[in-house]
Amino acid sequence: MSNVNGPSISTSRGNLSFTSINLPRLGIKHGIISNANPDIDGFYKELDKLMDLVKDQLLDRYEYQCKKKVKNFPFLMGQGVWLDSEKLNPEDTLEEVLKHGTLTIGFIGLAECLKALIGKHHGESEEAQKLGLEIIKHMRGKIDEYTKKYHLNFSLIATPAEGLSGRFIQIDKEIYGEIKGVTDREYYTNSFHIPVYYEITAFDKIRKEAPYHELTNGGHISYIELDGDPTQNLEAFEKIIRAMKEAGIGYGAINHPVDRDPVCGYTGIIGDTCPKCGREEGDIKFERIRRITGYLVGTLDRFNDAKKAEEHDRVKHM
Amino acid sequence: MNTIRTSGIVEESIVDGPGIRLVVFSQGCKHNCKGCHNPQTHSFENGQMINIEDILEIINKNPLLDGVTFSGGDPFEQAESFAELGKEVKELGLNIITYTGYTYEEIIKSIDKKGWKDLLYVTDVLIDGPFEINKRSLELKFRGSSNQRIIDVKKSLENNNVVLAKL
Repeated sequence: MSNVNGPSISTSRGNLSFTSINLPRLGIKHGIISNANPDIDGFYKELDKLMDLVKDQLLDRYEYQCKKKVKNFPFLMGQGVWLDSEKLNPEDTLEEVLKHGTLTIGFIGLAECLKALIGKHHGESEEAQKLGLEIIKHMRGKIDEYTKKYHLNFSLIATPAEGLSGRFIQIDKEIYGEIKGVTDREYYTNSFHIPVYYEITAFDKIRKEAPYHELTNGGHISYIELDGDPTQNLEAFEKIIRAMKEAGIGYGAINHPVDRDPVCGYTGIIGDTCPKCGREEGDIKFERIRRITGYLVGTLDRFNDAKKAEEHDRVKHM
Repeated sequence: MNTIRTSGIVEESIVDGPGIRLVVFSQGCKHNCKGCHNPQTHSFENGQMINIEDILEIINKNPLLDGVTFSGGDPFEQAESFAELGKEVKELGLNIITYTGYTYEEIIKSIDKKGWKDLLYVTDVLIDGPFEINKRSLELKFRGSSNQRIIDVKKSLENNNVVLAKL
């Protein structure tokens, strides 16, 4: 992670705060959903305005954070965990430490935004992919300007939204009604991801999402969903990892079913019966590990309705 | 010819042989194994006619593929078409796995049937024999029942005897 105020290291510093922008809302307002033709200029104008607003909010919070003193953070600052904090006294304020951190603007729902703007998302059409990349490049451009202007580390993040994925779409549904492919589900698609419900090969998903990784310097991840047990086919697993690397995926993840029978200890894929001991699922349930926004969980009980719906809609890529 | 009656195509699979494979599921099968995984593929009338060129086009646009698997249904019921597709696939440098309900010995015995020799010769690995429900095991790699064998076709032909492949 680059640092305009010191060494570009990833330890001893971190992100100070981030705020995400609702891209689908902008798409609805300026796209073919509401107009005869998409008003791309109007879209960018409002996006710029929103980014400036978020930037001001981040700066405001930054100033507030900087007013705190070393003594308020006896471990992080008092023990010198954060960069340059060892140079300060307990009564000093934190600016000299926090200037190394990042101020981050995120985004959600590029897919729904494109759908609302031009009728197709970037998994469905190359034209949408081109526009999607343009939008995110534009955002990154503004971020870099902020960094220069304020001499602070602004960054663009592909938000790994949890609560927000359900919250924004619910608000938009109330305002704009149910729009097919935009507000008709319980969640917005995270960041630049191809929608989880859209059938696409692993190769195409990697190819489409990879170019966004370079642009989102605050963080990003791409997922491939496997229908099968990769420990039984390591050649395939390795090939996907290598394809991710070649394409420029900065942070890639492969999701696959991991089931476990707590009775005999078998780990793999379990359908109705355990392949090892042959027992059927009765009172003692098989454990089925799934991944929700990076967390590996045995049950979806504790996740919000939006994320449960998202997990339900997921298709396998391979 | 030039078309294959298929019950479906899976563009990327990790459970039908080693590596990443495109799978062509043949429509039509006479074995009628009890407990068959894909009974909807038995009828010789259902399914969809697909041009071999169209299948090749899908294969061509995916550089991740290691090979192509012929499954079914039984590909030997459309041996000529699958052999033709198989030759083209080999030209692309990909390997071929063929699933069949016939045993290797049965295929050798009936090698003069239309297209059978060509399909066998274009196949790198043959997974043979019917599904036998009393020999079913979910722990077998790439197979349904333990009577089924994973056969190295080239070595078997050279040795005049079944040589198993290591996958």
